[in-house]
Amino acid sequence: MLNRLNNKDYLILILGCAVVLRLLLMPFFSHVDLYSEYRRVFYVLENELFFENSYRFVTFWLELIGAAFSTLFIDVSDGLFHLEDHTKSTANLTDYGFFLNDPNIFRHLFFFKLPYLIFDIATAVVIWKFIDNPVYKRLAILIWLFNPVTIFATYIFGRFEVFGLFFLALTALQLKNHRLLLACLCFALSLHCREINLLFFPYLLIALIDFKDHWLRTACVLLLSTLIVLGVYFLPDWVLSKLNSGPPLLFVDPTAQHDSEIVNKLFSLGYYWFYPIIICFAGLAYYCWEQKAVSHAERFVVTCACVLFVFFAFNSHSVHYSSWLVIFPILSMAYGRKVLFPFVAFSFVWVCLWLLKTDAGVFTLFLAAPLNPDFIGLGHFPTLFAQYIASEHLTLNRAIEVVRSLFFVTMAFFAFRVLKRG
Amino acid sequence: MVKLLVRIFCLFISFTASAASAFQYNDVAEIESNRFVLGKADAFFTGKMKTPDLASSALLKIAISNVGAPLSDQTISGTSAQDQSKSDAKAIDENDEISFELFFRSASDHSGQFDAGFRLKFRERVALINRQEAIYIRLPSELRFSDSQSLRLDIDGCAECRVVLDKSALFSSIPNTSAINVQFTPITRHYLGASRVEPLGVDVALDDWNTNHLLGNARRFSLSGNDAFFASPALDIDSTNLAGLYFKLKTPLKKSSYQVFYATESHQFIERSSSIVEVSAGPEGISEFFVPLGYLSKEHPVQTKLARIRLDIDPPANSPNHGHWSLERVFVVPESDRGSYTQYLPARILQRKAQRPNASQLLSGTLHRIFSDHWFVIFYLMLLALVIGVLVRRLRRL
Repeated sequence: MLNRLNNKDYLILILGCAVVLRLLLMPFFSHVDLYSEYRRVFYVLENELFFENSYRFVTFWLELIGAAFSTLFIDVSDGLFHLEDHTKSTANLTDYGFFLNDPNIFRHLFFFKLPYLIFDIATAVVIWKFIDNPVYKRLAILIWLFNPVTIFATYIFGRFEVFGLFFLALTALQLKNHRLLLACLCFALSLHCREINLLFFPYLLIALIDFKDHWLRTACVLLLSTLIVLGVYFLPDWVLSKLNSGPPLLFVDPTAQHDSEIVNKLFSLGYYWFYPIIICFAGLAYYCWEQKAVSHAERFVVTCACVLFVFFAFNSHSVHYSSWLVIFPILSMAYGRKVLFPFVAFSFVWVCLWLLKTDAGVFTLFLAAPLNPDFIGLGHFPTLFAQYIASEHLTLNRAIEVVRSLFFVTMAFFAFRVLKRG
Repeated sequence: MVKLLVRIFCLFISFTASAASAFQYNDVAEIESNRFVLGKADAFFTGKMKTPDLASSALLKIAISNVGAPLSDQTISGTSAQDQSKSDAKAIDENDEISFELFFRSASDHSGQFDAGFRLKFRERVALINRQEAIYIRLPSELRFSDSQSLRLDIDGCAECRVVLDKSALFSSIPNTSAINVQFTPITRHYLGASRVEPLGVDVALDDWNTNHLLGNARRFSLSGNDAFFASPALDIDSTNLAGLYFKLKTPLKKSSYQVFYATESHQFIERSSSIVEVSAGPEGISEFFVPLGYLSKEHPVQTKLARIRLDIDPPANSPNHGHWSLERVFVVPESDRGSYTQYLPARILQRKAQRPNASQLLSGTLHRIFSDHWFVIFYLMLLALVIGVLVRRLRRL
């Protein structure tokens, strides 16, 4: 029946189903990180310190607007989000327990995730506009709206990854429409959602080069693009530091010890993995440079997708970070890339990996605690595995190693399909 | 015939063995027959009742006398113990008091161990003990025994003291009908297993709670560290009609967190058997809160007894660590009076229960939580109906 629908009907039907699914999840699932995030937001609202935080500026302001809107419907004057010490804003389980027992918890979760829903649907619209082929267009939006990874990250775990993904998709759309400077602006905004997007900056610059242009024009474009991206990225920090007569470090704990192995901490990379990744990134830059006859958008999308495949082939930090992997392969479908099968394989292996690799609060019923705090501690797949499946030859660690290897293979398969022209 | 002789021999052996083990002691040195020096840590004597049976009597005599001063090196190597005992006993202030605890066994206990939930506490002046050459106590009428003849006497606060005990008749009962002219020692506290909460509730005495990182007593104290708490002495509260605990404090802070631990017959103070509350102070700094514990009797396995409670005070991280506090009242609320105290149930309360709910309890609890926010449920269902309605309408057009 879906094949008989015209594009508009298909889009409305799919979006409607996706919204229903999301509405069913939004008020009932959450990780403690969501509460921590909104404690910071409410601290700013309570104390009207709107210009003292430049960290993830776009994400923070979008959440701030969502939180302000929620106060029209929920009274938060009882201090549920009150922070005694703003430098120690990460909630512990006791604080989170109070949040879980709040009679308005479902309202809170609904409104907290409302900005995510808006940007999620907006991303779907961007994907719809980005892909011209009607078959791929339909498939792409189906994958975006119903893949388990972004649904989990956004509506079950409750993280803001979708903001960054939206701005990356918008960057690709602007590149496709040859609005290069606007693309740079969108990319800069994506940096204010997740710093990891800085990984894509060299590839954006290479993708901006039009090899038919005069070198002087190319140099001007690159210079201007760099100025826009870095300017927009550093502007809030610079302006706010001038306003506040110091760097805006509202939620930074000055007593926290900074690890010298900052790269290792940031990306969960051991140095033994660091060098292969750098080499692969360099190879991808060369690939991007060599694709001279290919459009800006295709070069950007394909190389950025591969950057993430390389990155995730060698490390796995948090379960919701895998949602970064979703957007570029979907966009690559615009260029005939066949990514459906690798996507199914990736989703399956991702579920298996995190079922085995989880701790008590990440990929467990802990996330259903808003429904009932008794879900905390109820289910833990590694325990069940150790109890019923594990044997002398297949311990939990061995199983994780096997599935991790499968994940690596999936990334390689993904990269193969994205690099291979249809 | 041979079998009968063997059986008689065995009986004789077991009788002599039990007789030999009837009187035992711990952390005590016997310096002469019936004369002992108490140790510093945990001095106690166990003995059997001399007939008649303790359960049939309401009066108990404990044959202890000649309580003397701690031994010095000189006195040990010097004159005989008896002479020294007399001379040293004069040196003791007659008003000095010694604490005793008499342990007995519960009717249901077959472990052979003495349980802290079954004991009597009393204090007596040295002078009276020495004059009467015994301690006499009236036993509580509700006392029930299975092994009524086995008792243990702990002597506290008299390290290295000398005492004279009659090993053959340390504990003996006196028939009610006897005409005796002695002074009875009042029992200050008795623990008779678990006792039901009175319909009017029970005020827990606050005078002998243990403290940590606190300066002062319950009536007026200040915090002196990061792990400030009050821990009650052993309680004997039956959980069957227990609704919870009510606390009233006077605090210098506007808001503070408290963690209420409880021990039962099966565990001591543990994190997963505690409740965390966050309470704001009312006028004049009064904080009142109620911690429900009614689930204790409904858990599996059932926690039949509230054996101890502990109140941890956890002020906010940046609050000034000065000012005077006061623990005004700790009250055991009976089930029949729960309604009067639910007003003190904190909005912020986190309870960790031992029992895992089964599937139907989990489901009903979940549905109860969802539908408790009526307005949100109405809005949410309307929103869902709207989106689904638009979809259905669109599909019908096709």
